[in-house]
Amino acid sequence: MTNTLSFNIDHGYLEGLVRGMKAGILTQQDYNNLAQCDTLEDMKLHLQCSDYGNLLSSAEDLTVSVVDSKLRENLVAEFNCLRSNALPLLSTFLDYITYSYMIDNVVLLITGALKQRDVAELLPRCHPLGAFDQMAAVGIARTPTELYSTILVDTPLAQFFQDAVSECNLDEMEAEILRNKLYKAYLESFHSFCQNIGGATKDIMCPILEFEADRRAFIITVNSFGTDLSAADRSALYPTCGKLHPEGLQQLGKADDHQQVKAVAHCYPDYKTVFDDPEPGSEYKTLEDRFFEQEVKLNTLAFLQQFHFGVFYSYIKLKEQESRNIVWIAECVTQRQKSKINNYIPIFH
Amino acid sequence: MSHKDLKKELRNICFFWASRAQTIMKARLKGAQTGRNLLKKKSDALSMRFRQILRKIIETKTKMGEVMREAAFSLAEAKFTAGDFSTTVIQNVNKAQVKVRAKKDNVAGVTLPVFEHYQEGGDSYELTGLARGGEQLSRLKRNYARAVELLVELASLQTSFVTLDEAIKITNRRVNAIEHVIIPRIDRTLTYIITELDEREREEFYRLKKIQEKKKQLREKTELEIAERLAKLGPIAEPANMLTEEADEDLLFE
Repeated sequence: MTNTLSFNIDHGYLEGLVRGMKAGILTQQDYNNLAQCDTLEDMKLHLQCSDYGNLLSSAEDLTVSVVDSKLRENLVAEFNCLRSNALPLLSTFLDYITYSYMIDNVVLLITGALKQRDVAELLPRCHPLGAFDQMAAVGIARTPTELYSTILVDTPLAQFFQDAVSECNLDEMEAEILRNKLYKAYLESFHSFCQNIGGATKDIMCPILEFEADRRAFIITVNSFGTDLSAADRSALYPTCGKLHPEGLQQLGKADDHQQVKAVAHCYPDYKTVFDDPEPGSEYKTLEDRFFEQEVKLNTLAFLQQFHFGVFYSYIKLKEQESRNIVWIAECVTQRQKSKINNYIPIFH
Repeated sequence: MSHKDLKKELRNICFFWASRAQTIMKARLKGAQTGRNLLKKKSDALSMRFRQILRKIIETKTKMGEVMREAAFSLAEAKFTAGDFSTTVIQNVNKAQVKVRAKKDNVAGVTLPVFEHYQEGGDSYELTGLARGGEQLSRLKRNYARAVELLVELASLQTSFVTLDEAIKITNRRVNAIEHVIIPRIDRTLTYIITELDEREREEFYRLKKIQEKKKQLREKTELEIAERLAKLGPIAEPANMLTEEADEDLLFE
């Protein structure tokens, strides 16, 4: 539906904007400078030279949480600027990006409603990118089923609840299980949406989303060892839009320990390197770190092609990773734990 | 009884009571000394335990510093990987999983409270971070659990420290009181009694000596009189007339 020739008519301005913003992502040199700081004040000085400019200068009392919230505000402002100028197909795409934050917010509000907590307390803690109109009304509902039938049905998340609600009672579901079920439905829906768009968007987005699906499957499996989560339950949480579907997911469902998971990963060349033992002499990286690196690599590939929506998704994800990196360096600096300060994920080498 | 007898009786009674007082005082002195020794031993035992506890407190506090630092850092790591899970954690709080019990320990008669922690119920945050950061979260849970354990230990050490301090002060005060007030007092009373008894004895002795002298004088005088009378009367020998003699002399120390 979008082809290369007519892309720029509707979305050219925004793509240009995103590419400009992408150029402001911190480089390795910037990270090196930040890692050498001794206090947050020094970091603030260094950030002033970057695209962040005077973001932190208004804060009187500089702590790591202040840095974190300012970075998030910045990202939200940029996103809203893109979203408000977007035209139909891009607008749906950008909405899809917000659904993942919306899922987190909804799970938070459901658990809060269950415990009869004041909604006004919970609202500021919701992620601003995932805000939806009916959020304030959540306080009326007393049980999750009520919540779903009165409020959530009108939100865009309703489609993801189908799977969860039909199978079992919403009230008895654990918050985490609900979150993962919603996320699975969301990923699969996003994947088919990108496939329908076709063209360069599909070529860029589908590998990213497949990777995300497989990564979730692996991590859920590894984290469920030693908990009450049965194999059948956890199989229900695996998104099916990845490369692991169907044989890999089946085998993962049967895996009981880390060795078996590794064996499954070995059948797929992409994931083999992630699960391999590190070479002697290199730093130990956790599984999550390696998945992060892989994700960052896939996201940077998006900028090599033009006239597709993938740049928006990748920009948001890379900016988030950058925020996490900056917060990590800030924490290391304030806690004086410089040994692990270089454990951030470098974005552009 | 005659007047003299009564006085004698009274003197004997006073003598009796004085020596009884002496025995009592001696017994009390013994008691005070034993008491002081026992209290000193108690104070020593408490001081030893006190020093042990002090050493442990210093050790635990330094360890605490390390553990808290590590725990805070693992929180930063977990936040890096799993995002912001603070709201999830806060929302899912219902009952305490780690609880503290208080027990009593006895050291030389002083009861010290001892706190121990125990787990109750399962881990309600088992599934948090299922899709992201599970490993970091479990490491975080372990680190903070260790920090809580150390905190409980430190708390019981510090309460024991304070209680023992009080107990040692009280015991030492008592020891000093006995040593510097009670025992000297008893000693002084005892020496007083002894001096009184000695004095009485000396009085007695002197009195007797005086009586003996007087008797001797009297006897000499009567002998002289008899000799005179006899000389006056001539060679009439008469036995002594029991009825005419006036006083019955005391048969003392002849």
